[in-house]
Amino acid sequence: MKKLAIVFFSLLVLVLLASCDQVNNLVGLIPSFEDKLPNIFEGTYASFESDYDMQEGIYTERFVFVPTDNSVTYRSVADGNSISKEGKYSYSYSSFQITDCNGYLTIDYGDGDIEVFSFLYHATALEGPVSLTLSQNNTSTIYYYWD
Amino acid sequence: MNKLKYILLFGILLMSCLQLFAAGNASASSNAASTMNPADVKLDGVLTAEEANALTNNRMSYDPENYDYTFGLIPPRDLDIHFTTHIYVETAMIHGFPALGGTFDIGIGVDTVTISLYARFLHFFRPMGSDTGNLYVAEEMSEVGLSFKVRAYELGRFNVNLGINTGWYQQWLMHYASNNTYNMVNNGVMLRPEASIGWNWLGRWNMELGFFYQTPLYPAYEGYQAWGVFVKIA
Repeated sequence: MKKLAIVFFSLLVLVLLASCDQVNNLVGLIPSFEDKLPNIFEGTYASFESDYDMQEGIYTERFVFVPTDNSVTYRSVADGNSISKEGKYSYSYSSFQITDCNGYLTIDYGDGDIEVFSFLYHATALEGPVSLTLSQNNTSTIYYYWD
Repeated sequence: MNKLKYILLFGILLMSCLQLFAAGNASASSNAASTMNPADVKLDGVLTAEEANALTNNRMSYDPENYDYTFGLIPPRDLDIHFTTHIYVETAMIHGFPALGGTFDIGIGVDTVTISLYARFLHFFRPMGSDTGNLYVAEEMSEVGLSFKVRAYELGRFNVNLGINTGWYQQWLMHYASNNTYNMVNNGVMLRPEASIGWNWLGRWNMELGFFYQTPLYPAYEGYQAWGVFVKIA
């Protein structure tokens, strides 16, 4: 009986020691819980001049949001000239209805170049994000989620 | 290891003290309830409290010094006050698809009424009604609250129970871009009336099958209004 116990416990300890390098993989699986609303700004949103352009992928303006460090890349193409800017964004929600939400989006490109938009976000649970409408100075542009 | 043993022992001691305290309180108010046969009572002009109770089926309180007879102060039997814990498994149709979960509750039962604190958890197989994972990859609902149940009808081992649960629910959603984090979106006061039929197997072990309707009251959230079915295992 004692021998059996010794064998069993030594096996247990050895298996636990051997699995030490796998523990990090398991810890990554445990989810964390947060009190604030999710960050829906992720991915590429682009505006197009026509449906044909949208099918061909020819955009006039494009935002690429990265939520891990809240950074955004803006690129606009007009008459063959292209402008590219990088910055950090921050947002606040006025209302959040899970698939639709609106609020304010502030993008800071650095050197005093700060743009404030009011945004209207639309998504569906089946398809994911659909569009992001950014309004500034009474003009609004619809940017579509673009894979 | 030793510390754990002591904590466990202390917990058991505390629980048994609580039960004794409750039971003791109930019997102290009975005021010499009688187990005498009424035929044995000798009406010789001097009645003891026990004889008076025997004659009136334990419904009389008698103070011989002040010739004070008061009916109905003594309950005919001791109140059955007991400590209750229950486990439920339940399913509800939310966003058009089933969600599966369970509840654990702990409380006090007095005769046929049970008042308890409960904790509930529901897992959604289709978050927001979709399993594409394009917007939300996971959804859970948790709830803690107060539960009021009454055994409304009883015939042998069969019983019918009604209950109302109120609590604070939280909706946890995992966005596809959120890196394994659940965000709390909708939360508020939930009201859940329920009804069930039960079978009393042994002692206090009552298995029940019932249905409930849950509705978030404030702030109102239509997405979580649902009918559901539960089974009380123990």
